[in-house]
Amino acid sequence: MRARRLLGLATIVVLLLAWEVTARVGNNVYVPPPSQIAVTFAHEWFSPQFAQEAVPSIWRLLAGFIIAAIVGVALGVAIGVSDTLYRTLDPVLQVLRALPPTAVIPVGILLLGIGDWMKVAVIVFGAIWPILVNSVDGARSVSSERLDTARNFGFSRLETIVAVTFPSALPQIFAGLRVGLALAFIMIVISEMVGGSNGLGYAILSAQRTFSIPEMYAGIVLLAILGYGLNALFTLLERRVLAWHLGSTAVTR
Amino acid sequence: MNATVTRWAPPLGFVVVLLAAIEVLSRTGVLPPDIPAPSAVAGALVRELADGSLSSQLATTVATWAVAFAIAVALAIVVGLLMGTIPLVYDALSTLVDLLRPVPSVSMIPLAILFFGLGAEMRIVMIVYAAFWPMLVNTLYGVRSVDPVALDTARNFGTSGLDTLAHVVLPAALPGIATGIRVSASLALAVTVTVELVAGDSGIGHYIAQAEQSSRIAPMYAAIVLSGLVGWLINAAFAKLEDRVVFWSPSVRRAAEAG
Repeated sequence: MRARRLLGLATIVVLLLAWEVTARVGNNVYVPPPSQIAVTFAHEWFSPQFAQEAVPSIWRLLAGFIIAAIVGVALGVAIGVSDTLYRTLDPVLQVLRALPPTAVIPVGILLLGIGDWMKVAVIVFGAIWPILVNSVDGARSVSSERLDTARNFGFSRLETIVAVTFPSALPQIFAGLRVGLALAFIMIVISEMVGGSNGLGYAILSAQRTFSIPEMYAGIVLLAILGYGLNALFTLLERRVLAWHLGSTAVTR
Repeated sequence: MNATVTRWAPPLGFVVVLLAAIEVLSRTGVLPPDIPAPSAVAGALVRELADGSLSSQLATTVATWAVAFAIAVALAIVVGLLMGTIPLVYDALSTLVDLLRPVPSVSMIPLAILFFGLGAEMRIVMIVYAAFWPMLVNTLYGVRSVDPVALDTARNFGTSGLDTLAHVVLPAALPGIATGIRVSASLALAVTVTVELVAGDSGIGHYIAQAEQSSRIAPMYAAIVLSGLVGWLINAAFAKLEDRVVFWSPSVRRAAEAG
């Protein structure tokens, strides 16, 4: 097992070394060596610039994603438990989900300008559909045994939704949240590129336009680290929340 | 016929009522002028499609999408089969894949512009890069779900590597591949429109950005609606394909028999 991991790491080290050597030999301004990117990264981002460019992106992203998660899960479960709502709204949700989400950014700019709230709003709009659709499906796929048991115990409708439907739907809700998080990331980067005066998306695009090449790479590296880190945090949260579920299904198998 | 009516009446009714409400609120000036009446948007959609200004952009977007999506699918299936069947390749590449996959693909846009400029080449490279990952992950998932007994049986019968690939691995991997195709088809379209919006010189995304900047409000909404229709069509088509492929798949049949 350890040998296999080492091979994986070796691939990355070899690729980085090959990049370093070709960049130094070829001396192409578009491809700075990784060592130079690392130095620029430390210089650019361990500085007040982090607060100016990265912090706004992070808070907009989290605010938009959390709003989309709360609204999406609440509405999704509500639609999922009601046959009438499901039959009326599900086809509409399927169409809205298929809309390329960044296409609404110009509408956001038109209605809300290029400030923080436009970005939060378009993130909510971009991230909410997979969360909604998965919450609906999750709420609908609760086994009838569980619902019957809840009824026999005299649970009210609301109690059943909170104590039975919602927990049973959680695995699928998390699947939707994961897709939503990836979309939220796309929305923040693009909304800052198209209508921004700060933020990481703005920073890397203006670095490219002013030919500040190492700075552009350093910004992309920071975005990559954020994407990787948020994804890892999300996986951690998912494992925690679903620990009971993974365990219980393993037993029944 | 009756089933179709009961299925589509509620959602259509909802949409009609909603659009009628927006129409009235927009015409009476309750809504800001930036939210036009649906009839104006529909009119703009028909007009711009008929006079070619939107239909030519639609053609560009669909062509870009198709080329890039095909490349991404072919590339990811080859890499996925190599990684899934040769352990050494898997061990060498899986850490790299785990590292690169969660990276938001759109953060590579400035890099793509730097190397390829603003033309079709840059867009195709970006779309291939973004659509490659879900395709690869689903292909791998499919290949790794191959029944080990089937592989052993093939080996005992002295089946060659290529025959095993064609008759054992590929059929078992098809449901994963079909899911990958559906997911990356939608993602590829989203990235196509995105790249056109940020840095394109043509396509629906470019049209939307241009319309916004020149305050041609109804045509802007019309193009957004059109991009949604294209997305919906693509998703519906590939979901149908997936249903067909998954229908006969052994793993699904087994699950159906078990439960």
